[in-house]
Amino acid sequence: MARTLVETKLYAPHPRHVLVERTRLADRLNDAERARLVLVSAPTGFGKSTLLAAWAERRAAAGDAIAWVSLEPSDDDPTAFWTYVAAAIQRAVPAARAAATLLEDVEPPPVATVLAVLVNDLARVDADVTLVLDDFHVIQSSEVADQLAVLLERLPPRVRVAIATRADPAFPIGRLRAKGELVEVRAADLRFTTDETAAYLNEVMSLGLDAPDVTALEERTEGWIAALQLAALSMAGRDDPSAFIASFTGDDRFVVDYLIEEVLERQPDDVRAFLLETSILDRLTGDLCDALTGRSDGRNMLEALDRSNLFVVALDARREWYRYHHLFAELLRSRLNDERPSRGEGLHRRAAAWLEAHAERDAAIRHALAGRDWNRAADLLERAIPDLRRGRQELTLRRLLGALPPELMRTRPVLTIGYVGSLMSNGEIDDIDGLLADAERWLEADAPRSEMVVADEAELARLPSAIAMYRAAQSRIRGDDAASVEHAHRAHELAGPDDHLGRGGAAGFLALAAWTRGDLDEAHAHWTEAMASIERAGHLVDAIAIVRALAEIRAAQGRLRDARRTYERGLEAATTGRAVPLRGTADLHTGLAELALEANDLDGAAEHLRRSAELDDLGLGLPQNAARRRVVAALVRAAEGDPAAALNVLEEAEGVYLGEYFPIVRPIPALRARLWLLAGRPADAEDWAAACGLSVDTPVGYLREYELVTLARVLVARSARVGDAAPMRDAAMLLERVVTAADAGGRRRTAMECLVLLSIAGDQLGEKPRSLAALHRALDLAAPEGYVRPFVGEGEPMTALLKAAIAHGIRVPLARRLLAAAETPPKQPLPEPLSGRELEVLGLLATELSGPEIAERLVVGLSTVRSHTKRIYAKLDVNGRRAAVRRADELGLLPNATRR
Amino acid sequence: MWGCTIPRLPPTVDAVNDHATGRSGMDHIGGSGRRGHGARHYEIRIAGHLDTRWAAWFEGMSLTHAPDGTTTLTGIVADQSALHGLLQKLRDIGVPLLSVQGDQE
Repeated sequence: MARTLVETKLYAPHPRHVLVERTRLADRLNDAERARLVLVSAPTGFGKSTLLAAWAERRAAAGDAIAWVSLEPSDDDPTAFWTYVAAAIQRAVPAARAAATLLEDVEPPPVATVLAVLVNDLARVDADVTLVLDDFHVIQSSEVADQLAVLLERLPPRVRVAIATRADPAFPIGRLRAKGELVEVRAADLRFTTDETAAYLNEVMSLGLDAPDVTALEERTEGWIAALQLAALSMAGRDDPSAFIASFTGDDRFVVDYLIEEVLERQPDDVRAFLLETSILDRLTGDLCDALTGRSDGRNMLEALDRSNLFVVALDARREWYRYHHLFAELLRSRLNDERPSRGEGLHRRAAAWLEAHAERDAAIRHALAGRDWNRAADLLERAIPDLRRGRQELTLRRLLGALPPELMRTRPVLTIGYVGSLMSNGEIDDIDGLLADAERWLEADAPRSEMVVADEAELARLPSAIAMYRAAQSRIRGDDAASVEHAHRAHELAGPDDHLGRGGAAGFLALAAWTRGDLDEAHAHWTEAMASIERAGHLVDAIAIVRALAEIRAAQGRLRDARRTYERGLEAATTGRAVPLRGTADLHTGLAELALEANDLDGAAEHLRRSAELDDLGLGLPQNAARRRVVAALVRAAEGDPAAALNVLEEAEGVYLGEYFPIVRPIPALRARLWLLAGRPADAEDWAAACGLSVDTPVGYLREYELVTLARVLVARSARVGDAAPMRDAAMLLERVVTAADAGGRRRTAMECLVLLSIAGDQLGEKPRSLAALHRALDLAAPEGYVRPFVGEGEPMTALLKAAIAHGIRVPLARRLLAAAETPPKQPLPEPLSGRELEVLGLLATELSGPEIAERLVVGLSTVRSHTKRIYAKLDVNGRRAAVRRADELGLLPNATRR
Repeated sequence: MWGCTIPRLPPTVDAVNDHATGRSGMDHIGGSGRRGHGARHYEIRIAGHLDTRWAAWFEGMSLTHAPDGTTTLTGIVADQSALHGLLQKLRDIGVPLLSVQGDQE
């Protein structure tokens, strides 16, 4: 999304008035060659920004690129923060634009990705870069602090970060300090010494004070620069500064309380009024000031303030925009609040009106809320909703909408529905009923439409469908699928032909309900429609989530090839022509890993899982992927013959499990019971069976299938353990019932597994013909799709049965292949084999790409590429890139495309 | 996640799917009434005599000047975040903070 940036926040200020040359501090900063972080931490008014601005100017003169961000409270949000940081870096170094470009995307990638790209951007810059973050104390989110800590950790050698803040940042700086990579400047360093005080008062301000007066002022202000500036302004033009100093130093009042009074008293009435009235603004420009004061001298006034050093800071080179020094603004605001308490609201309202007219949306909303101009705030917010949601600023939206008076919502159905959306996405579902009912009232025939307020007319047309959709979502959350389907049907009917989101969303809820019922074909059809609509609406990340649904349904239908094609097409769409793959790409690799496992391609599965984990680290997985890829990893471990390791991985999966919107067809406890059986812990598995609330008579339903088959496995194991045929017969009966249901529902993957188990059970029960008939059917299902694991995974009993099948001429070629797969141990080309990722890096080493280019290609940091490279060299026992490529070629490790 | 934009569902509502982990989705933590989390009376001491005109700025806290050149702000503070907001306001005008004392419950 092309966010409108406030350009003045990216402007490195050039202090017009150099107060005092502070060589001792300048030297400190110049010594900071090795520093990664320059931390200037001190209270307001200690000259932090001035110091950094002067330092930045010197560095710029020496050829450094300076990226400057003046942070504001609205930047206390990861997306906003990094958008400004990336934009500042791009302005400083135009070539380093990849991160900024990413953030302009309709669906910006997660911050972890942006960070990785930013580090790569910076690593390629052929200059020293200094990133200055001014007013960092406005950042309270620990998320942003953690992310900045990550950036500092990975900072390329020629880049440093400087932070000015009133409170130490919330990330550990001890490590940087220990490594000598931190330069700290604190209040004690910043305060004016007696010499500096004298130089300032007498040389800069020409006050001609004697030494005792200077000392008295220095002691009273404790070298606080803002206070000294105020004092100097109070004294300028006075006949007897010593008398002023005497009364000032003999007074107990808070320093700046005393001084601001003196300063304001000495201003002409119009200047004083101007200062108070405009103090509510974060940024000032002549025209905006005029809107507040009702006068026409705003521009001249600002220039005059600038000239007389009355605490304004120019925010651009043309000196059109200014801000007050923060402390000065606080003092003025509190005075305005005290002297004319009723005035503030009106001023905020005028500011909001001007800012709205000048398309400064966020500032307009802030002032409208501060001025309790609820209608304007509501209008602005209503129109901002689609944009804020796209930019994933759901929390901000929730906070802003929550600040409006509730009764205002009642006449504004579009705003109400926006509020419902923000509540729902933040997990607050309690008040939704009442809000939906409020909005719905306006759709009734006898509704007093003239009393309805709508700012976003386009959204009004979508309202009926949107309300039905939220009702569908709510019913789904409550577990009432029948009601959900009803609402979804209505949402679908009500959505206009161009309301792609509405149509897609409704189709999605229909698909979810059908899937939950086990109507796989119907679910697939609804998902297909949902995906087409949602792609048309441009929501590509949601489309990826649907790819997973489509593929999982095909896999349940035993259509392994279709499932794989679905994922592969999704992967192509998610990666082609993109600097960074779409979020959700990790999930596709997880899906492919599971399908590779079905074909017994353990290496392929491991490789997809590695890729999935790497993409997850970059934030390119959907929330569920963290648990899902661990579940698949557990299956791979089990297939490798290490069920104990599989159980450990499964426990990890449970630890990161976040819930799931899709029907859960493979509950983790049942999977764990299966792993217990493999691990030789039948007693644990039987405990699960006893506690799961299922019996051999439980009615078969799609969502219960996995558990019922697990129960059958427990019974089979028990039968073998205790030498009693009864549990085996129970298992066989249960499996027959499941096969019948699965056949009827077209769920061939379940049917295949049941038939395999039936064939084993039949064999053990001495029913040879039944056993072979079941195996025959299972092989028929597997043959066209390439399933291997469902057979090989059963171990010894299946090997014997496959041999019997071959002897009886059943599906001989396939049975032979399966038998061979069951008997082939995995191969080991090197003493320590290269991982899939290392092979990928190796393939790129064989090209002409440079290190940073390889890093970019793989979407990882340069240091990651270096550590991969080091390990590859060690494993291949070589010393360099050329030798590694030659050796790899000899070993046949290079992909054909890159092999020379 | 399905539904990122078309009704965005909350990330962990799972009423239908509770059997997935065998755990209850309802792990409510905490609640009100813990030590220091409710409204209570606070005294904040700062250096210098802060003008009484600041009282409105500090949300109705009352200001008392002591002969030792300090000011005490006293009043009921709604909760911890209100307290931090207050301290931040003091920080933003550069007042040196001497102590913060909350009444025992």
